[in-house]
Amino acid sequence: MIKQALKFLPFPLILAIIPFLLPGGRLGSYYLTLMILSVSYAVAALGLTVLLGYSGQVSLAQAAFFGIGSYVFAILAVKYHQYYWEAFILSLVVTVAFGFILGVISLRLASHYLALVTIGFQIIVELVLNNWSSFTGGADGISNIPRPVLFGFDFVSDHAFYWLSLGFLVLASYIVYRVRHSRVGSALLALREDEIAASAAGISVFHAKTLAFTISAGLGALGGILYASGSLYISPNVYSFNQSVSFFAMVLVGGQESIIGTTLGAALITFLPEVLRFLHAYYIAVYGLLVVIVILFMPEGLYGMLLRILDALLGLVWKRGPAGTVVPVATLPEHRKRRPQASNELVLQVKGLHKHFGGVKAVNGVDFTICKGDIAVLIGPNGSGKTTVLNVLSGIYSATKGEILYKGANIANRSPNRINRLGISRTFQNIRLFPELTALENVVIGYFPKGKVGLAGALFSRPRGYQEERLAREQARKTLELLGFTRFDEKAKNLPYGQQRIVEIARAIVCEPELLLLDEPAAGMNREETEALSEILYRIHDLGLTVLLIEHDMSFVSSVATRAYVMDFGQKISEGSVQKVLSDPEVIKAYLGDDAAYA
Amino acid sequence: MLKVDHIESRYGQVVALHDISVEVNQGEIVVLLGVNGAGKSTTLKTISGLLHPTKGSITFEGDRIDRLSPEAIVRRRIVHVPEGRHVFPGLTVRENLIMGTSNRKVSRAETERGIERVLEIFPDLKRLYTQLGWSLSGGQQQMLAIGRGLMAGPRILMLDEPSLGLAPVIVKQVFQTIKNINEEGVTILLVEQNVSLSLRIAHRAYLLETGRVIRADTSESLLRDDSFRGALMGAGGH
Repeated sequence: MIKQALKFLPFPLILAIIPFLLPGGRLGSYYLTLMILSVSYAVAALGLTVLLGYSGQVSLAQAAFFGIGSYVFAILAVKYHQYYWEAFILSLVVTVAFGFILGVISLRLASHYLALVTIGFQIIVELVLNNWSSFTGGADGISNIPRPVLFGFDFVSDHAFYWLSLGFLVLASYIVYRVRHSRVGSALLALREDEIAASAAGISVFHAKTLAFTISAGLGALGGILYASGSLYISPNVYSFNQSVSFFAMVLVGGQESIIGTTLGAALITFLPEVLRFLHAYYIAVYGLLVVIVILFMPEGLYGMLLRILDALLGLVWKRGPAGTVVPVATLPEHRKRRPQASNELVLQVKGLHKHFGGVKAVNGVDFTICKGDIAVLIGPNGSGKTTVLNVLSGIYSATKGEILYKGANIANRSPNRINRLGISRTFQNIRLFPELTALENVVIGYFPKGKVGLAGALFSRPRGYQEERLAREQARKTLELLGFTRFDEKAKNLPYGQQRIVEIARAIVCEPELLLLDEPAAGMNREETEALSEILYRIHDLGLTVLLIEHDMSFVSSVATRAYVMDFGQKISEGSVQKVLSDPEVIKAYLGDDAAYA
Repeated sequence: MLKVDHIESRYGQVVALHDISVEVNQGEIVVLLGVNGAGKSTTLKTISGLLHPTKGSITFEGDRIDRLSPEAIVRRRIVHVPEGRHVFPGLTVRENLIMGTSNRKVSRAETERGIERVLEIFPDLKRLYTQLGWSLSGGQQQMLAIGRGLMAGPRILMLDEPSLGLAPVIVKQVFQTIKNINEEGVTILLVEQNVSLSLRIAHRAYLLETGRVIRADTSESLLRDDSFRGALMGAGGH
């Protein structure tokens, strides 16, 4: 941490000495005012970094939060003569409340629909600021906004206020940095990458989305207050839709996942128009064009570009090793070839389960039971409803009718993250890893439900937060090693299919669930890998897990399963030991084909 | 017909293919075998233009195609059915199939004939004809993806694990179908984990390991080779 802080230190220091480098006189104070404003923009843009860059929610309402922050503060401080810091705190609280509301709305909407709603919110705020003149001063705005006094120092001069703003920028950067490197931040990234997989890993989509919006609103308000105090005068035209687009551009141009990038982006977007003023009538067009060029040709933003240039320069100085190669899965040690045994203790009991999609009866009255220590298998023709059963069990679909008793309690229709916390976790047929995250990060997210440190913990109780993150990484590493996987730092999307499956299984078992649901784990694996997979299942079973899996590879099924259920057209057509169901004439006809000799 | 000559392919910094050479002759079924991560799917992606090789060349009937875009390659009737299905979720089964013809101009009658043929091969799709892609089960999506590949009127059809996620009874049908398609004159390049079934229909096979071809042989001699059988297929295969 100290090392990282030292690495970060040069940036605020450089920013802090800028006032001494500015030319004197009127021009100097003009540039200093611009610096103050760009710092306030940077603080607000950092909020958008969390919302857009980390959690992937497209919001065009950052200027609305910025505006609510400015106005609530200015109205309280100027019209109601509140003390500076009281107005400051109240303004943050009010804006965060608005952020929370928008977060709740975002639960029902995604991508472009969400963007449209945020634009609507932005426009409403703009109209209110313009038209509620008795309160907001209308188009005339509010003037004589104060600057603060803190611990006997007054920050009234431009220089002093600039340094105070820098202090807040450092604070905002610290908050965003801690969020990113905590359990909370991992949850936000998971949300961005794959919402369904995130909730199946025990992350509450409600908490994650409202948190992202409230952080974004809070930092937006902080920026807004600094802006109001910095410019001493505010009017509605500052908080227009255009400004929201500017915030968006700051984050994208700078590099949407980077704190330093966002700060650079804010400075660039603020100063570029000033630099281009000599172009007179054309300057806005040129400015727009430059932004388009940056976004087109530097997808990682300015900061990503800088890093790459730096990397290339360093590469010239130090010779690097040859590029890495793809390594196959490490083979697991000798088989133990010991068929798992089930107990009589009931874990899961499904009674009369129905799931209809409109007229399609995907699951139409299914009953089955799973005991502790089972490796139960669900087989049946394509489209017979197996995956739908798994989706209802894990809460992704709600049941149309029927009961799912898990250790005696009915869990039908609970949300995926609650079911995960009860001890049921799963993998997906099409593999739903978080593609842009590394294998290890994927598994660390699986550990989320075990963690306790929330936002406050991540920000304030540092030792505990760090300890927990270390523990999560250790557990993730151990789990991957148990499954014979070692390419920890490879991005999930770059792994071959079979290894992605291993990582997904690791993500599902890292938080030590009681019941593991696997959807076609052996699909896409060759003979050798399938044998390794049965060894993996034995190991998972030895850890005390009960397993329910869907599979089409019958030799794999007969080597691991303790009990089989066969489905066809949404109903159960056979059950019993694997041997028994595979010789059932009805199963042979519907599923195996005539010349079957599997068991 | 298709000649892949000493290609190297990368994902960013990671070299996935070191040195792959594969030849496919008119009318053949050729299968690529190997463990996960050996480079089989990457080879198909490089041929279909989703990746561009960093070394070596790919020629189709004498023309270099390794710098062409995927859509230019599919216009030459080199059709790739990728792993993971990639069915259009918001379109119906029928619309998904029609999408397959977008690589060329076809008459309506020809489209209908194509659809009919696909439905003959996969009768399950008939029942689902007006359903949306997302609502199909995994195995049904696999059938649809293969069907869509056929709609493109392939001269070379590249299938990446066509048996993935299919019920055993359907797996056998799919292999039979591949054989039938081949007998109608379509050249096939196959990637499969089901070694015994694919060797039974293929003429020749390439065995890949960590991005290199370690063996190229006819199916018969591979099936006769006990050491190979032991290594890749296990007892009896499946």
